[in-house]
Amino acid sequence: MTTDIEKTSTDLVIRAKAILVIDQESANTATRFVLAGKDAIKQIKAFFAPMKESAWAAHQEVVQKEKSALAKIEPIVNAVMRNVADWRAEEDRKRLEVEAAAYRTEQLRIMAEAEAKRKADAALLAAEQAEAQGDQKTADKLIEKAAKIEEKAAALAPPAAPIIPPKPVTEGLSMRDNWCFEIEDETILPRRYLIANEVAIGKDVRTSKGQIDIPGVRIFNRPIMVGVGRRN
Amino acid sequence: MMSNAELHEQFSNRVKAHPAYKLSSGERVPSVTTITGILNKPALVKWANNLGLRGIDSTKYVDALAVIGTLAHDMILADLSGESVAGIASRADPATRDLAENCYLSFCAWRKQHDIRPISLEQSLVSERYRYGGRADMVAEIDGALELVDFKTGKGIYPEMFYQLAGYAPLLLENGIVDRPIERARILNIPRAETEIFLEKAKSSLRIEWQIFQKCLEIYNLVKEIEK
Repeated sequence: MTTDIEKTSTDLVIRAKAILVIDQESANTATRFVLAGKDAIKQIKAFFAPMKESAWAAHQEVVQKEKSALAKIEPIVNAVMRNVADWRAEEDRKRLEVEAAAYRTEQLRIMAEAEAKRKADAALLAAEQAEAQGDQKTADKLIEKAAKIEEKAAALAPPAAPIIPPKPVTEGLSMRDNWCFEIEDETILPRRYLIANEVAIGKDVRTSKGQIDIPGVRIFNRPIMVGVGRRN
Repeated sequence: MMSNAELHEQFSNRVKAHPAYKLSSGERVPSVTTITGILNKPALVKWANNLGLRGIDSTKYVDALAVIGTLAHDMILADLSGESVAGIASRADPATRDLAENCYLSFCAWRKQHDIRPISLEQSLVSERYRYGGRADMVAEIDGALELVDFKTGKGIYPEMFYQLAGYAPLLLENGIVDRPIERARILNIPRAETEIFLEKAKSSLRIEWQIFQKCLEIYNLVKEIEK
């Protein structure tokens, strides 16, 4: 049969090359060719249909077998993987918490240092004023006070590096971001995220036989040739 | 109405007109952006190269986009400080204004989702302790947390943007602009064109970024020492 198909196809290809529709006679020849071609197409499809069906059935059977084999293992593997992922997420969260606390400590140190400087500056200013008024004793006391404040501030030097928990290790398994989304209100979706519903447009255009006006859409008729009144 | 060139010049002048950051002693100190500027920015090199391959002059492209970005930035800050956004927008030509308004609308959509109480907007500050200056876009209580926010207009959010924020935080702490540690640092990337997208990234710790910033400051000071 495949040899017959090949022969018919070759024959049709040769005949097609010789067809040029210029008058009624050549149009008749072309019409006969089209009808013969359509018959050939039908025969080819009919020939391959049972093979496709049995191949599809065999494929379905294999898929089904694979599915039931996987059904036993996949949920278990996925559950354990979820456990690993949860643990990693929790470890990451803890690490970020320690990081945030350490940063907070550093900021508090900067604030305390600035506050100490303000106090020391105020004490030195007051000492200058006391000195100007001839009150050397008070001035000395204030200078001493400022020195103590500065000494205290110096002791606030950057704290030792915090002990940040190590990044969790799961050799052979890595985490990757998996950003997902759900549309909550498509009326406010930016235009670039919308795609034209061509199925609906096509349906409305065909139903109205082109008598519909859709902004942004050009509607036109492109007739196609069909076989009429033939019997198999 | 100003032309693009005039607007750009005005913005450039505004940038140039930034008061030089000076300590109480009168000594001039570098700004946060000058300090982080010592870092190589690989993303920028790649971006400029891509523009070059497409036959686009990156300098002109930057100028055009910068005008839109700066105008959008100003509109956002005007909005936050209760000034007239329309007044700011009217300075530009219609095409620039349209694009900047798109940016502003993206910001408005984000703003609607949050409770924002600004504490400080674009305040120039100097650190006597660390000897540098800077101007953070915004410090605000956002949804109850004390946040440091920077508005960017560009293609993405890169790690070095957080180094810059890490430099701003001590300025706010040292100058008593905030009375407690900053809980979150956030960068909002506001798109100027269809090719850019709205992005935001927030971090609860800038500890390592602050260390990086201090190293940059150290290198900057050492380089200046050599140049003396």
